[in-house]
Amino acid sequence: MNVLKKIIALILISIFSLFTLTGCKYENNSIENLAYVIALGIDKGEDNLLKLSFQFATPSSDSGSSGSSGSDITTTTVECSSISSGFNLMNSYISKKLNLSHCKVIIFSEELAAIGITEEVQTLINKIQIRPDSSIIISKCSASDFIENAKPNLMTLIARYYEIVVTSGKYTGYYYNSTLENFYSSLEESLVEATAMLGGTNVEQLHYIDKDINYIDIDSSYIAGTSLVEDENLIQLMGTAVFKDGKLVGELNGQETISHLIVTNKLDQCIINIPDPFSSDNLISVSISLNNTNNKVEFVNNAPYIMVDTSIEAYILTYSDSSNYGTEEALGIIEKYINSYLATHISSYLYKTAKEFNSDIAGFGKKVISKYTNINKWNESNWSNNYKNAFFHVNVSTDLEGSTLMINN
Amino acid sequence: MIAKKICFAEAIALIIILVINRIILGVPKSLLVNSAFSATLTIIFVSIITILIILLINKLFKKFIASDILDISEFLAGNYLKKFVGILYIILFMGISILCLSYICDVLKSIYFESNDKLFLALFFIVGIAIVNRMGFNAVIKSNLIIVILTTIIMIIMFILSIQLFVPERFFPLFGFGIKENYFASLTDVFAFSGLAYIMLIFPFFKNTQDFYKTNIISTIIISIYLLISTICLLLVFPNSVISESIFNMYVLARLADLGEFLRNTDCIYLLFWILSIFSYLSINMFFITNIFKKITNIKNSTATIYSFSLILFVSILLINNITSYNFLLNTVYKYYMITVIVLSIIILILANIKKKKNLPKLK
Amino acid sequence: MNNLKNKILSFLDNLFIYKETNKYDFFLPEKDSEKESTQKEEKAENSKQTDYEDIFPNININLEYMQIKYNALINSDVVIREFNLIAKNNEYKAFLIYLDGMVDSNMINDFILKPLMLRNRANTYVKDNQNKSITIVKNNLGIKKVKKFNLEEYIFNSLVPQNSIKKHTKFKDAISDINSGNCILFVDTISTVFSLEVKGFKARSIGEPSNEIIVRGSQEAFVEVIRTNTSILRRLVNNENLIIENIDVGKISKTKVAVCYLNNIASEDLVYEVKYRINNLDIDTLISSGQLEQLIQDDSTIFPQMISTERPDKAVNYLFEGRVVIIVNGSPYVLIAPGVLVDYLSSPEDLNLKHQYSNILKLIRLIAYFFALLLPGLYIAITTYHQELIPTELLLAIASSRETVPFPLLFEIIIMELSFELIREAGLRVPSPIGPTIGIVGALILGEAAVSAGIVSPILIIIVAITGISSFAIPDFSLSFTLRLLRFVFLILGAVAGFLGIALGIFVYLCFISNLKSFGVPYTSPYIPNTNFSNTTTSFFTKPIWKREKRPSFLNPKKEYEEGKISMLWKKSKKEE
Repeated sequence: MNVLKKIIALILISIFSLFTLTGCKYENNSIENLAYVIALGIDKGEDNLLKLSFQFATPSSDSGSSGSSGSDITTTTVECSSISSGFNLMNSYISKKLNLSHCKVIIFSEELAAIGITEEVQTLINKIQIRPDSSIIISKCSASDFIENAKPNLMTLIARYYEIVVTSGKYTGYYYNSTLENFYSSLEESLVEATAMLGGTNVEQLHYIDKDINYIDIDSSYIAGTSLVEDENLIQLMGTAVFKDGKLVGELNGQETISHLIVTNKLDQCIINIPDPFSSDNLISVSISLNNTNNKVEFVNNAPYIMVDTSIEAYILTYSDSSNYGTEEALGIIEKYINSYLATHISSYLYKTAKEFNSDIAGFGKKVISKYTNINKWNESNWSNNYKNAFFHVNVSTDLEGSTLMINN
Repeated sequence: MIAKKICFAEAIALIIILVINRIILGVPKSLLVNSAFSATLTIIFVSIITILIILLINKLFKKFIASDILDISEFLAGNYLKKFVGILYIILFMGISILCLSYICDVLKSIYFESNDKLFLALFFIVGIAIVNRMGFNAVIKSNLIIVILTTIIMIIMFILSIQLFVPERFFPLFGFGIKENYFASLTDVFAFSGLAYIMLIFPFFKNTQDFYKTNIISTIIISIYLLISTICLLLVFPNSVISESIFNMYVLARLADLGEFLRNTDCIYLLFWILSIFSYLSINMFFITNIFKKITNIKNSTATIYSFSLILFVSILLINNITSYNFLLNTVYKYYMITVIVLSIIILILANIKKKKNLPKLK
Repeated sequence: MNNLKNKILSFLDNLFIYKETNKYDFFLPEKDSEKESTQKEEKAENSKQTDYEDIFPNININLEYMQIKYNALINSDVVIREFNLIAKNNEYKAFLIYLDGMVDSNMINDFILKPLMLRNRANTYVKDNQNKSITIVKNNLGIKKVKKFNLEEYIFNSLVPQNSIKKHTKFKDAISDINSGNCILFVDTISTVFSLEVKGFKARSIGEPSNEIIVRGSQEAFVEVIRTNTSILRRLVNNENLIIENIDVGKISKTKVAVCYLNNIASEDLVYEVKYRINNLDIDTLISSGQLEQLIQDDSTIFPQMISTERPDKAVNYLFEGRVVIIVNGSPYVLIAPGVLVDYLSSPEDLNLKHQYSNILKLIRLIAYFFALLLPGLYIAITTYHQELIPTELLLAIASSRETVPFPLLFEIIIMELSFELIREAGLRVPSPIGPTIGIVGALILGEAAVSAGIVSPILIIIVAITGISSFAIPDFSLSFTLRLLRFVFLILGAVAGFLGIALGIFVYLCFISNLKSFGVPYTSPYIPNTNFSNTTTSFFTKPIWKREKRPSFLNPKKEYEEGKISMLWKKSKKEE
C-alpha cells in the first residue's frame, strides 16, 4: 500500500523533473520539424572544397481532409570544406533540422571519385543517421545535376522512385545495386575491390558511340548518360564504376556489367543479342539466367591463373518465319554461338579489369585467401597488386530451353 | 523462507543475462581480430577451460551446501576475511555496473538523444533499478527470466536475418594470426564468462541444491553457444578490421539485419530489447550488491542501501568521460581485477575444503 | 528552541529510522512430487473406507453417512430434516435431505411433511387383523397366505401423495437425485429410500449475461439472490463434493457471502486462506462483490487479482480446476480466486470452440493487449525519436498531416485520448436507447470535425481508435481498465525519452506483474516460475480438449488429473477390435 504510493510518487517526481530538467527539448525532434534528405550528392567544389547537394522530400501542405501523402521535391546545394560542416551549414540555411535517416541514395561525381572518396565514405558510414543500406551512385555528370534531374517518372514519390530504380538492374543486368555498407567493406578489406552503380543524365545528349563496336552489341554497350532514350530530363543508371583503393579507375558498360555479374554469381536475368548463325544479317535475342559460376585460382610462376567456369540457362526470344530454331541441330549450333559469344565478352572484361584497371572487382581474392592459414602471410602476398599479372580461362556452357509461344518446324 | 528461492530456469537466466549484456555492449575485441574460423576455435578452447574451472568450483562447493563465498570465507578465517571478500565483490559489481551504464548512456546519446545530457539518460536506468530492487527479490529474478527469453528470441531473429549477409570466405585464413598468438592471448577471455562471479554467490538461493551444479554447467554451455554465434555472425558479415574498430559492434550488425523491403531499419527495435536486458542486468547487479552489503554489515533495512548504492552508481558514471577511458578501464583495470577476485575466491574455496577435511576427523 | 530542535530531530528520525514493515506474505505451497504419491494412496484408502454402496436399514448410520458425504455441518444449503414418521399409528424415525434453493419448500411442507407427520386417517388407520390373510384359490384348494405388513409398500402406496416418486436402494442413486434437486426420504428399518421430485425455484427467473456475451455457450447468468446462485452452481456441478459455506460479513449488514469449492479438488491451504481473509474483515457493511474483491486482495495494485464473472459456466469451470468461488448476496458478479494473468485473457467461449479457433482469438487478444497498452506510447516515441523505423512514404504522410496542427504531439494525443475516454464514459451514462448514437456522434462527427478544423492529424485518429478498439477486445473488464490507465504512463515515458522510456515502462511493468501474487499464487503462473504446464488446463494457448489432462499445479489441487491419458476411449477400443 505504502510502497505503491511511494513508487507512484517517485515516478511522478522523476517524470516531472525529466520535463523540467530537459526543458521539453524533445519538441525539436518532432516529426514535422525535420527536413528529410532523400538523396545526397557530393561534388568537387573549387580548391579543396566539397559541394553538397541535398534533395528534400517536403510534405505537401494540402493535408486536411484528404490526408494525401504527396510530396514536393526541393534541391539545395552548399559548398563546404567537409561533409559534417556541410550538414551544419545546411542546417543554418534551411528552416528545419536536417535528418538523414531516410537518405536513399548517395551520389558522387565522377570527378570527385577519380580523386578518391575513401575519406567521404568513412565519414558517411560513421554517421549514425545514414543507413548503411543506402545506395551509392557514381554520376557521369555532376552530382547536383544528377539530383536536379531526378524526377520520378511513372510515380509520384521520389523516395519510392529511388528505392525501385536502384533495384531494377536485377532484370536488366546493366547495373547492380551497390550499398554504402558493401562499398565500405570492400574498401576496408583486400578480398574484393569496390564497385558502384554508374549514373548520368541525358541532358547533354552525349551521342558518342564507339565506331569499333559491332552493331550487335550496340544496345548493351552504352554507359550511363549516352543512351538514346528520347525523353527529357531523365536520370539513367547503366554500367559500373570500378574502384581501386578508393579511387575511380574506370567504367564498365552494360555489356561488361553483365559479364561482371556472371563472374560474381549475381546475375538474375538479362537479355543479350547474338548474331544469327544461319543468316548473317539477323540477330537472335536470348534471355539468359545464371545457373552457377565456379571460379578457381591457381598460381603459375607466381602469376595467378584464373579459371571461370559458368553454366547458363537460356531461351530464345526471337521468332521469325525465315529462321528455324526448332531442331536439335540448330539449337546445338546456337548454344555454341552463345558459349563463344559470352566467353569472348567475359574474358575481354576480365582482361580489362586486370590489365587496364588492375582492380580485382570480381573478388578472386576470396578464392586466394583460402590458400593461406595466417593473416600476416596473406597480407605479405600483396594480392591486389599481383592481380594485374593474372591470365584467364573462361568456359561457358549453355542450356537452351525452348519456351516461346511459337516454334517453326 | 520459501519466498527467496529460485528455480532452475531462473538461475540459468540469471547467469545468461550477464553474457547477453556483454555481447550487446560489444563482443570482446580480442575475439574479433582474427578470422572467423580461428575465433571459433578460440571460443571453443576458452569454453572448455571455463567448464573445467566450473567443474572445479562445483567440486569445491560440494562440501558447502547452500552457502556462498562469504559464508565460506567466514568459515575459513572469520569475520574479517568475510568483510574483505564482500567488499571485493561489491567493487566488482559496482565497477561493471558503472562501466555498463556509462557505456550504454554514451551509445544512446550518440544514436538517438544527441541533444540530451548523459545524466538524463542515466536517470532512467537509475529510477528503474531503484524501483525494481525496492520491490524485492521476486520482481528482479522473475522479470529477468522473461527478459532473457525475449532478448534471446530477438537475438536469434537477428542472427537468422544476418545469414543473408554472410561472406563465407571470411572464415579464412584458417588460423588468423597463428596458433600461439590466438590461444594464449585469449586465455584472459575466460573471464568474458563473467558469470563465474555470480556462481560464487547464488548457491543459497536454490530451492533444490542439486540444481546448482547442473545450472553452472548448462549456463556455461549456453553462454559459449551465445558467444560463438554472435562472434561468427559479426566476423562473417563484416571485414574484421571494421568490426574490431567499431565501438558498438552489435549495433552495427543490427543496422543491417532487417527483413529486406518488408520491415526496414529495425535497429531501434533490437535496441528496445537490449535496453530491457541492460535494465535487468543492472538491477541484478544492484540486488547482489545490496545482498552482500546486508550480509557483511547485518543491516536490516535494505531499502536505504538500494537508494544509496543507486545514487553512487548515478554519480559515478561521470568518472568515465569518453570511450577511450572506458576501454582502458574495461580491458585493463577491470579484467585483471576480475581475474584476481575469482582466483582469490577459488583459493579461499580450496583452503576451506582443506580446513573442513581436517576438522572432520576431530568431530568423529 | 529546544522544542523545535526536538521536533526536527524526531522528524529526521522518522525519516531515516528503519521501521519494520509488517508485510503480509502468503504463499500457496506447491506439491512435492515425493509426498504426492503417498498422499494419494492414503486418500484412496480413506475414501474406500467411507464409501458404502447399499443403504442400511439403520437410520442412524444412514444419517451419519449422509452428513459426512455432504459435509452438512459446513455446507450451508444442505438441509437435513429429522422427524418422526407415523405409519399405522406407529412412529418411525425418518429424515429428509434436500438442497436449499433447488426445491420448492411449499411442496415439501404440504405434500411430504404434512401427510407423513400429522396424524390423519391415512397413517393412523389400523385394521383389526394386521396380519391380513389372503386366500388364493389354487387347484381348487384354498390356501391361506399371511401377508406381513410392509412399511415400504405402505409408504409408497399410501402415504406420499406425489406423482413422481422413485425407490432407491443404493447411496449412489440417492445422492445423484439429491444433486439434481430431489428430496430424499430415509425411513428407519427399511433399506430403501424414496426420491421425491420437488424441484422448483422461487427466485426471479435467471437472465442472460449482459456484459460477458459469447456466441457459443450457455446463456444464463448469475442473479442477485445468493440462494439462486448457489443452486445454479449445484445444478451445474452436480456433485456432493461441492461445498458451499456461508460467512456473514459486515457488522451491520451481515451480508451473506458464500465460499464455494470442491472438497476433493481444491487445496485446503487455499480454502483456509480465503475463509481466513473473509472472516477477518472489520467493516460495517458490504454491498457487492466488487467491494469484497478490494478487501481481500493481496496487494493493492491496479491489476485485477480475482476473476469476476457473471457467467455460471465460467465459474463452474474454475471450480473444477480447484479454485474457490466467492458469491456475495446482492451481487450478480461472483469472484473467483486466485486469478493469474492468462485467465484475464481467456473468454469462456474458448473452451467451447475448437482449439485452433480459440488460439487464433487468443493471439488477437494478445495483440490487442499490447496495442491497448503501448500503441500511443510507441507512436509518440517512434515519431519523435526513431523516425527511421517508419517507411519513408508513411513518414511523409504523417509529417504532412502534422503540418497544420498547432499543438505538440504529446498534447495532441492527450486531447484525443481524453476525448475518447469522455465518449466512452458518456456512452455508459446515457439512457440505453440513445447510447449507441452518442458513441457514433462522438466518435465519427467529433473526429471528422477535429481533423478538418486542423486540431488533430488524421493518422492520430487511427491510432487512438485502434487503441480504443483494442481495449474493448480484452475479455476482462478490470484488466482493460488497467491497460487504459497505464497507457497514459507509457505515453508520457515515450514522449520524454523514446524507446528508453518505453523500455523503462516495460521493465517496471514486468517486475510489477512478476512480484504480484493472487492468494499466494504468482501472477505470472504457470509460466514463471515455470511449473510443469504441459497438458494443463490453464495456459495461454488453449490445449485441445483431450489434452487438458492435468489441473494447474500452481493451485496445488488434491486431484491432479482431470481426465485419463486417453480421453477418447471409443477410438482406442475400435482399434483393438
